[in-house]
Amino acid sequence: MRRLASGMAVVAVMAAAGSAGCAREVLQPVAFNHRLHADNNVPCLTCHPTAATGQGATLPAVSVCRRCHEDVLYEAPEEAKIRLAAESGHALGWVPVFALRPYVYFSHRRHVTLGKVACAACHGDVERRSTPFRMAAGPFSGIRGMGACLRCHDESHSPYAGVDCVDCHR
Amino acid sequence: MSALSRREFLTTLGAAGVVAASSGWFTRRLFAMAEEGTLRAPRGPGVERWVPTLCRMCPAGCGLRVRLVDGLPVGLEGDRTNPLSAGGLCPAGFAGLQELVHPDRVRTPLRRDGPRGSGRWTPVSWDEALEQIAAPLRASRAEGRPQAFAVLERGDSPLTLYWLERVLRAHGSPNLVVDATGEPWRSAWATVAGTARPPAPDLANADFVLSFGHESLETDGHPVWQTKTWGRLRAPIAARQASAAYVGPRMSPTANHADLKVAVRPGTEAIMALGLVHVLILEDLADRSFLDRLTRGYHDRPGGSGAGGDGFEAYVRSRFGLEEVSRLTGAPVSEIFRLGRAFGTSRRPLALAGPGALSGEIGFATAMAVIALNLAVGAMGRTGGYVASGGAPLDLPPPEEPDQVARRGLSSARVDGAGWATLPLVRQSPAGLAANLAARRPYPLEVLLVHGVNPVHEWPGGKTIEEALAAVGLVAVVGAVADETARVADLILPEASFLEAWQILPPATGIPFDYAGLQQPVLEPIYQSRAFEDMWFDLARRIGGPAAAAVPAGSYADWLPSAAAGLHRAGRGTIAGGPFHARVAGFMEERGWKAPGPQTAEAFWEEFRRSGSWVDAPRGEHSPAELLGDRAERFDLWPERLLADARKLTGTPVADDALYGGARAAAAGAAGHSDHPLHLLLFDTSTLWAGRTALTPVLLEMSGFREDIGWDSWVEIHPETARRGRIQAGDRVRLESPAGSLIARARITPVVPPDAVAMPRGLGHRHFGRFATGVGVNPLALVAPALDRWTGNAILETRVRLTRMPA
Amino acid sequence: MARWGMVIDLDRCTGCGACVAACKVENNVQVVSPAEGERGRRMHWLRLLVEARGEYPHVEVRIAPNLCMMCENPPCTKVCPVHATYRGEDGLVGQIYPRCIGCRYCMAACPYSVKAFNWGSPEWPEALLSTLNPDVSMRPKGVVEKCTFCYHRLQLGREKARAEGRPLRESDYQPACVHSCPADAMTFGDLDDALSPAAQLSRSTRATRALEHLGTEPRVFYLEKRDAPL
Repeated sequence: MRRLASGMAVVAVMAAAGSAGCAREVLQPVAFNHRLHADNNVPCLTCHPTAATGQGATLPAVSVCRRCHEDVLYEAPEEAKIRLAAESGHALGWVPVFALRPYVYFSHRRHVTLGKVACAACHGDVERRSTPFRMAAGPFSGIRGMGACLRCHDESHSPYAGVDCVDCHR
Repeated sequence: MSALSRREFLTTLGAAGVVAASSGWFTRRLFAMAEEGTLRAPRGPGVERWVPTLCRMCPAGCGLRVRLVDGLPVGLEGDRTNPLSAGGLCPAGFAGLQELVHPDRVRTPLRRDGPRGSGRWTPVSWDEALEQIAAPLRASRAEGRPQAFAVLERGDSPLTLYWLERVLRAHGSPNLVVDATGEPWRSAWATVAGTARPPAPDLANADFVLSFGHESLETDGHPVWQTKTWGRLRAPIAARQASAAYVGPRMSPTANHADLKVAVRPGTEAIMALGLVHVLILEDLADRSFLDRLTRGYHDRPGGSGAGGDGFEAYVRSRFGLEEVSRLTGAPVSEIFRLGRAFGTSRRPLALAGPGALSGEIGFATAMAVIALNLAVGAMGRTGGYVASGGAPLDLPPPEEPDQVARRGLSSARVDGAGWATLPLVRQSPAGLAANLAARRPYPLEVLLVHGVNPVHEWPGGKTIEEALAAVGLVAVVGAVADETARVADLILPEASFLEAWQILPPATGIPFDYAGLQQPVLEPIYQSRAFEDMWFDLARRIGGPAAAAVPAGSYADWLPSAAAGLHRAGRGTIAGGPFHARVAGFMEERGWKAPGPQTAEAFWEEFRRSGSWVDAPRGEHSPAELLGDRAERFDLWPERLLADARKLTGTPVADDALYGGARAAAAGAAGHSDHPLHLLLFDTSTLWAGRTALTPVLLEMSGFREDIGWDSWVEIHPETARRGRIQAGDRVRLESPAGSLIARARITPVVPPDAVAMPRGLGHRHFGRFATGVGVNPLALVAPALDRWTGNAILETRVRLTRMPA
Repeated sequence: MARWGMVIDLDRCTGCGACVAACKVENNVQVVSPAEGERGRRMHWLRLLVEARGEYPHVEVRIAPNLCMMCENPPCTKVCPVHATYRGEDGLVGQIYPRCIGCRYCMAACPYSVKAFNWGSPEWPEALLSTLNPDVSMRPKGVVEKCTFCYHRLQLGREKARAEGRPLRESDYQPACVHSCPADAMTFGDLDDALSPAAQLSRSTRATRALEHLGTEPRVFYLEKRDAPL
């Protein structure tokens, strides 16, 4: 019993210490509402086009927002921030929330265009989020991430979904 | 559950705390280690773009494709469609990216802030810098002395030379001094054939290539093109199509790949060449028909100071007997015969000579002797022999008449002594410039503009050059990184990297077909650096007067498409799509078909930009007439006019056989230097390129990659020489010559003869950025500055004494 | 699956070193300090083995590029305790840096000495960081690295071919060294494709492999120098 209690204490303290290195909270520059845009039939690739054509998907530059938010919708306070950014020439300053470790190589084009994997499969139900992302990637998210990748690759029947280490770690 | 005692609880908590703290620390450390990989910019979408351009690390200009990811250049490879380099590169090419972002690149124009050489600089604007140069030039022109302006230029870009010449001519200065003189090869061909440009060896079709110190696979000519050609001639599946031979004192990498190597004493290549002519005569392998029809002086010698005299054949037989040749060169008679026979019995033999054989005291004679060897086998104006050098039919503005002030200035003697302190045939004499500067001879210079040359480091007598520059009113150096010459200058003008600038490169001398390579920037200049041609145009505008009128409006990049329009107008050739494509297009054109090309000059420019090169594929038919200059009908074996000029130059009697007799005398007198018993042989490597590319870590680490030496120079010593001097591999040794001394590490190797040591040029920089400064030693410290008046070049010969340094 | 292999023609190889520089730059291989270099710790995934034989002037300098042989029966994978080096589905011997614990057993086991070890953290001058190839990892201190036959080029090539709806071509996948060779001494391709030059050359009478008696079954073939006709 004593051993169990001390064991649990150790685990508890470790968890507390470990969680000190956990994902951190971030504040996005604009309170972006994904759900509102999704309900207005704006597909993911409209604002994140390189997900279909490139290795990395990027966060949109102001020019992407301005394609629609030219004048008509510039009334809300959040949208005013976009207008200000456009006028000042500064970037919007989105904080990346999904980031893989530098030793992991992932190609969006392979998964989105060639593999026909839905964005939600890895990014979760972003379409239903009405508030911006608050938790940035942290040290543990990488390890949790690989398990998710392997599970999908194992279950997939595609010959292109490899489980060879060297496929992603080069 | 039994209660935990307080002590047990605290102990457990303490232990847990230690474990926790360490595990948290451990976890963070684990991830920090993994995070160490995050050394590059945050990952973007990975948008890739390839830009075809040219590598300018050496004069060859190999085709390059630069890979940009998200706008940053991150990789490069050879351009397979380039007709010359066909995807190949040398090690230096791969350092281009590191040069672009070198931390010691000069970012703005700098004006010295303190005495010359103090190393203190203030940034100034381009306007201020160019005005500082233009003001004395305007003033000196107003005083009727426009010739007080000299430009010392590297000379690997014909278009750059064109614009330099054009402005200087309009302004009134004859003083464009080009470092890449091409001497003595150029003058020797001018003497023999009356041509302005030396011909090119048709290596692709030769079946026996004999090299006299021509490092074809390393650093001479266009090494990548030569290596590609050589590689094709050794196609693995077919039988060997061509053989190679090498004559020289050092068994260089090019020698190593020759099928036949004949070692000769340093400086005796001319004697060997004439010995081989003798073998051809004896074995009846000389091309009698060619010699009878197309040479002058083979049977009899016309003119000369004696009434007639021995023809070349009789001369070689009597003065270059094989026993004598063997004695002087050190090569056995049997080897001379073997090489001569192999050369003479080949159907398409060709002999080349490189700087290694042509930089000594008898460089001119050596060039003449090698040309004579080619004449003896009729290797002139035929497939597999020497053919007309290629060019590019670019559209250039027509020459303009200089005004009166300029004409007077242009008629003054050149400051480098070319033509008056040297033989008249010589057009450029950088060594003469070095000699004349300190003495303010023939007149003092107001401005010296230096581009692409580092005389203080690259020329013998660097220290004296440094001092000589003090005699010049204003010294401005154009370059990317401040080097030794820039250090003692008044102004440094930051030059854009080749990855940031435009150029069209016609073929280097020695390419047997027409070609034009396009260099285009992969990104905007990252600092306030500018392309040299843009600086030059701006300077000309500031000088004003005819100089300003000589340059176009706008930038060099604005003008360049109009030059390329000439390629389009020529209506021949093709924008390159690869060697196969070029050959097919040439094949079709020879048979009267026209390959459809872009309709307008604008469309042509767009295609040219997409491809990166233009070529007019080599034609099958050649004739000796294409090599003979306008006034010559035959190739001259005897340099009568030259000897007459030499007499006038020195004011002393010059013997009829001063040329070859001089070679024999030099070889005979070679022995007996007891103080300095060893010859010093200098060579270049494709990582260091005589110092120009020794700037980046990747190449500095590879300085001696074949010798397992990095970040250092070395001295090649024969095992017997080492044994006598009790020198072991890795020991430090001192070399002393009459001119100076240095200490370097020893490398024991059988590639050098027992009576010589060899050192690579390129290292030993005192100022060349943080990576190169202080690395290695400069062997030119051992060479005394000596001007060869026949060629205008520095004589790069010296002898040394070798001693082991105590450990 | 293609059986990737390389053929190096020693008759054509001039030892120019373009392949060495190409590999270094393509794969972000560290330049170590001069002092470390003197200790034999220079890092090259591809290096030139040079041996001078004979006496002046009849000297023969033999040169051979030495890189990972991508053995079919690799000794290194058998000794790795953590499966950091292993033989993948493409038949290429991989080297997975995040798994490597730096024990260097694989370096001891490799009879060709083609592996390099990161004795120190990579010290890139900050200005030069932007020239790194984003497709290849940076290795931290304490891991082993070696030639990968530019595997990243295969992956990118495959992706490009699939995106363009066509099969992989030879020109899509060429390791950096092969591409750079000015003498065309290196040929690369699928040894199982009878039409590929690499396959044909690997069956030449001049073809040989290094240390064949060890049974490693290397996939790098060398074509022996031919006798001089003179």
